[in-house]
Amino acid sequence: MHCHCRLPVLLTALIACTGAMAAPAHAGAGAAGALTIMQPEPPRSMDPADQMATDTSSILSAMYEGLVRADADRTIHPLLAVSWRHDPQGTTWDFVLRRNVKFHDGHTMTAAGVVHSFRRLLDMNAPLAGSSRFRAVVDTVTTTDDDMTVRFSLRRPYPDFLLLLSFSQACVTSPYAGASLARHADGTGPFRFDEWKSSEYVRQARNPDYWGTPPDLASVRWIWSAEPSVMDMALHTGDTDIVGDLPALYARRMESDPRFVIHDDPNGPLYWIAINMDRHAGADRRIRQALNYATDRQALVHALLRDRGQPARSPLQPVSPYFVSYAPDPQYDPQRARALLAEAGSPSGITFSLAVQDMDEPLAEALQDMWKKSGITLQISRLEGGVYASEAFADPAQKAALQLDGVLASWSSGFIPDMQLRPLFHGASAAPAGANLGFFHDPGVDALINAGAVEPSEDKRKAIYAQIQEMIMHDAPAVLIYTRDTLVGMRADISGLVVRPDGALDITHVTRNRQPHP
Amino acid sequence: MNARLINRVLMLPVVMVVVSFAVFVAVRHLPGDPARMLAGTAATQDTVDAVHHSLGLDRPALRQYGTFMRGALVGDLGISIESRQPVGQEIAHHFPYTLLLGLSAYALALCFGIPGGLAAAMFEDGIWDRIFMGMTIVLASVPNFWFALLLMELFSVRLGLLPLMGAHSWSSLLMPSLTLALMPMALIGRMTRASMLAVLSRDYIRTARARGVGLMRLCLRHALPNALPPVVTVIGMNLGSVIGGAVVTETVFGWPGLGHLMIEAVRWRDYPVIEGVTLVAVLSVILVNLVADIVISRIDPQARHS
Repeated sequence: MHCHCRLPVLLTALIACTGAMAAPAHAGAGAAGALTIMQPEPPRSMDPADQMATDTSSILSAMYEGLVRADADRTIHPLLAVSWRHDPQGTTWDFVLRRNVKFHDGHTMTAAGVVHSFRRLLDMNAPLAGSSRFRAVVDTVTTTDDDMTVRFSLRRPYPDFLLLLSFSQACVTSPYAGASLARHADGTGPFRFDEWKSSEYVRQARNPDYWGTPPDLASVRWIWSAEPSVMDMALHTGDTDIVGDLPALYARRMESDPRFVIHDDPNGPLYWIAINMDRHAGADRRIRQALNYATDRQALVHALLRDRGQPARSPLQPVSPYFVSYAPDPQYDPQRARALLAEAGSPSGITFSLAVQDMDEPLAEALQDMWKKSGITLQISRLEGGVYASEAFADPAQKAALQLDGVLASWSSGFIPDMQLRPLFHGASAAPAGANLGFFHDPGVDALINAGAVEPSEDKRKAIYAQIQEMIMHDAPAVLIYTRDTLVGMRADISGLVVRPDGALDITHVTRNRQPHP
Repeated sequence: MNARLINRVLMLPVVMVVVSFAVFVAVRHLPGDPARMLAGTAATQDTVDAVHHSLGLDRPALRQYGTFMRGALVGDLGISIESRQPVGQEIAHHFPYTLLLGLSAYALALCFGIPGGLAAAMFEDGIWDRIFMGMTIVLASVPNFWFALLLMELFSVRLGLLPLMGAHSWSSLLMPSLTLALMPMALIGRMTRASMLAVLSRDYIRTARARGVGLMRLCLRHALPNALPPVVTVIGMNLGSVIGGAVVTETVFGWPGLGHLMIEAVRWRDYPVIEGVTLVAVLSVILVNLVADIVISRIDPQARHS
């Protein structure tokens, strides 16, 4: 019988290991001054520069601050920098730092500390995942004689430099944090890092030493689930107060429920099909146009986004100040699509093979059905995220071997036009170097993209970007489909949430109206 | 019997080396690049290449395997690409949750499966037998994922009785365990029934019955011990699919176990974590089957006497 006594020992050990569970029910959503937010993805890192994920940026935005911050309309406000100036060429920028700002570790922010934080982004010996955009623009970051001024030397003039500094990746981190930054955030923000329980939650507490207006909330908990129905249920049960990036279907159901409000941010991702210009279907402009005429964008926005989005009229998002609408061209016109295909020598239609990430399959299926009416047979290859990334970024030879005519993709940094047009349509960004997944190459467009990036005059930039949009729409290297609004579901007693231009949620000024839930 | 067990224990390191190599090769042949997954689609290729290099992924594959094995021999499974934490530490954090979930799922499965199967065999072709057989078919065919959402909708959203997700309290364990228990419940139930029916038709049972032994005593004392060995074997063999089921169950319920860790690791191509979790899963399956053999040798009257 001696073997029977081992089970209690084992169970005791288990209970000790999962000790947290024995604790009384936690103060979760609904507690005074506490807020719980659920997002689709877990955080990737606590280091703002070592990640490129919107959900991670949301979590970090409560704990870190940049030199400046941007409103949804691209207006720049001082944050850790109180003022700035640049030389006439726009290549040397000096930022005067705010005084008496303390990192969460207690150290005072100095110019040397800020320089250390930005140099991490430039260091190729310890490359950080989120450093690409920054490294392409900034050459050096140095201190000046004044111990509260930081100087940036740019590789070339970059009129959108301030917007670039408002990105999560450009947040200032403590120089004393070292390697622990990956797991333990250390910034200057209104909330300080409390705990990251792997696969469970990230907890933050109000920063008592914050330099600015202290936040209303005492603590914030971030949780995650990739399953949309679980997100929906969590909001109903009160397990969460806010759900970031709610699918339109659930938003629709919540609209009529007084317990919830939907925050609709039009600055969402653009969806498009990059047409492989190296393959038969993509090489002929008439076929590319036919694909565009075969696409009923309005119907897709209605059916898949429940009208929470806009048909794409340009390779830029409608929220961009450089956006020029080419409506109503191209309109939905299956007859014209058929005629164009016949003209291109395929009167009986064509077959088009498309790589699609698993979550975008509904869109691809809707297109499949729609394109059939124009004689286009869409072959969908539905791919898991990692496989999709490797196929989407395959070079022309690999794409030929895979027989890929196109890639369905989405992009969400439309508020800086250079960060959308350059990676997606510049010849030098052809995959695998960048996200020009269909190998579009037009020297005229390339020259204009280069000119627009350095043009200081706002009017001239507008003219340049208008021309680029027109050229791309005319050449049709892509089927631009729609922009999807970012939907945030919240309990009705919550206010003050801001969705930043890079899509991250900013909860700094969120307040709860302590009315009991109906 | 003992010689066979010792033999199997001795073979364990060999099996682990073979498995580790197979996993290493398979993981590295997965399409997709951890550096790209880390840097995102907006990253330029030079950043992806630099990250790739800093992770040591551009070194010759055999050297990478050598480093991995040297570490694994002294219990160091490397550093997670995503969390930058030692993989051993990640596994140590998540493993107790999966163990707890697995044990409670098996406990549920045994509590339902063995008495249910026993009763079905005792009253073969009776009403209970029919209900039971139908039920096990349904249980075995219900997708975990769907059943989990159904439970959540009913017990958390509608009735507000159980926490929706996470691992805050013991009540958080109920729905995930039940979800994970479905498959082994059905399997153990059907196996118990079939095994009991086989034993009940044997001569010694007929003899015992002729001697006037009551039905209850006949089944519990005479038949059940002889019917259990195949059930124990099935429990051991089924562990692999329970671990597979844990991946889905833990993800839906936000239960912080190994399955949850694994699905994130696969998603981001976190090679060291995938390798580490797979090795732990394989080791668990081997050890549990070993234990099952030892248990059978103890409980099986025939094996005990031979």
